[in-house]
Amino acid sequence: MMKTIAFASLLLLSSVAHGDDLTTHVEQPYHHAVSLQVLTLDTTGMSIQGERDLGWKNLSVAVSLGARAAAYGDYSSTTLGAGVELRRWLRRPTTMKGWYVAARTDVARTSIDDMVDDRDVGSMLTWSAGISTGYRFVIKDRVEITPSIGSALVVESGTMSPATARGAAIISLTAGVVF
Amino acid sequence: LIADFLGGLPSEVPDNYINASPMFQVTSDASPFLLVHGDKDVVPIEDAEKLAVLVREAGVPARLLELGGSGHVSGPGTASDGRYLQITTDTPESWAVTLDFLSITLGAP
Repeated sequence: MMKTIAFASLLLLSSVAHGDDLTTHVEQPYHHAVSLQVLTLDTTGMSIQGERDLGWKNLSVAVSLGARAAAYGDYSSTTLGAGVELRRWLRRPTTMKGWYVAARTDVARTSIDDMVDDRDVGSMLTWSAGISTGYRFVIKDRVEITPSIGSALVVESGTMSPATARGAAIISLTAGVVF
Repeated sequence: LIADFLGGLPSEVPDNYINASPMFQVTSDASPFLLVHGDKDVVPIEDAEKLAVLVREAGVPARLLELGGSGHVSGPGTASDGRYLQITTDTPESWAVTLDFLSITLGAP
C-alpha cells in the first residue's frame, strides 16, 4: 500500500514538474527537487523532501517531513519527524547534480500506546545531527535518484528516561523529480 | 551452524532441539516476558507470536512488541525519524516499551 502511494506520488510529481521538452539533453542547472525517501517505504513509514538551490556557493537546502507507524502487536506507535539538510555540490557550474557533501539535523517525536491496557506508554524525542556524502543521478533531465551514506549522532530522551546518545549509520536513497 | 551447535539435524537429534527451544521451556513459574521482534528479521516473527501465546496460556504476563521494518540486529545501525533504513530493533519504540515493562514489572527506580 505504501509503495503504491509512493509510486503514484512520484508519477504525479513528475507530471506536474514536466514542463520542458525532454528530447533536449542540454546540461542545465536545477533549482528545485521533490523526492521520496525510498528506503523508508518498506518500513511502515514515509518521508518526503523538498530541495532548493540557494544560488550561492553551490549550496542547496533540503527540508523533509516524515511519518512512521512501526509498532504493532500489543502496542502501537506514531512518529512524526522533520529535518533540514545543507548540501554543497561539488560539480561546477551545474548545481544539484553529481557529488555533494552535506550536514543534516533531524528531530522526531514518537508516541507509544499500550493496546492491551489502553493506556499511554509515553513518548520519545529523537534529535540527530550528521554528515553525509551522496551522488545525484538525473535521468531524462527530470527524474532524480540520489544514494548517500554518512554517520550521525543520535540523542534520544523520553518521558520515562534520561537522554542517551549513540552513533548511527546513515543510508539513504531518494527518488523524485528535479526542475 | 545450528546443526553443528545442537549436534545434528532436527530429524537426527529431535530432543536437542526441543530442549533448546524456549517454547518447550515455558512454565507457570516463568518470569514475565517482553518480546521485541522485527518483521524483517531472518527469524520468523511468528515464533515470537507463538511464544507469547504459550507464556500467556501458562498464566505468565507477556507482552509482544512487533516492529515493522526492523531486522535482526540490535545495535546502532539506525536513526529513528523514518528517514533512515531500519535494520535493527534499536528504535524509540523498543526503548520506551522496555522501560515501561521494567517499570511495571520491577517497580519504578
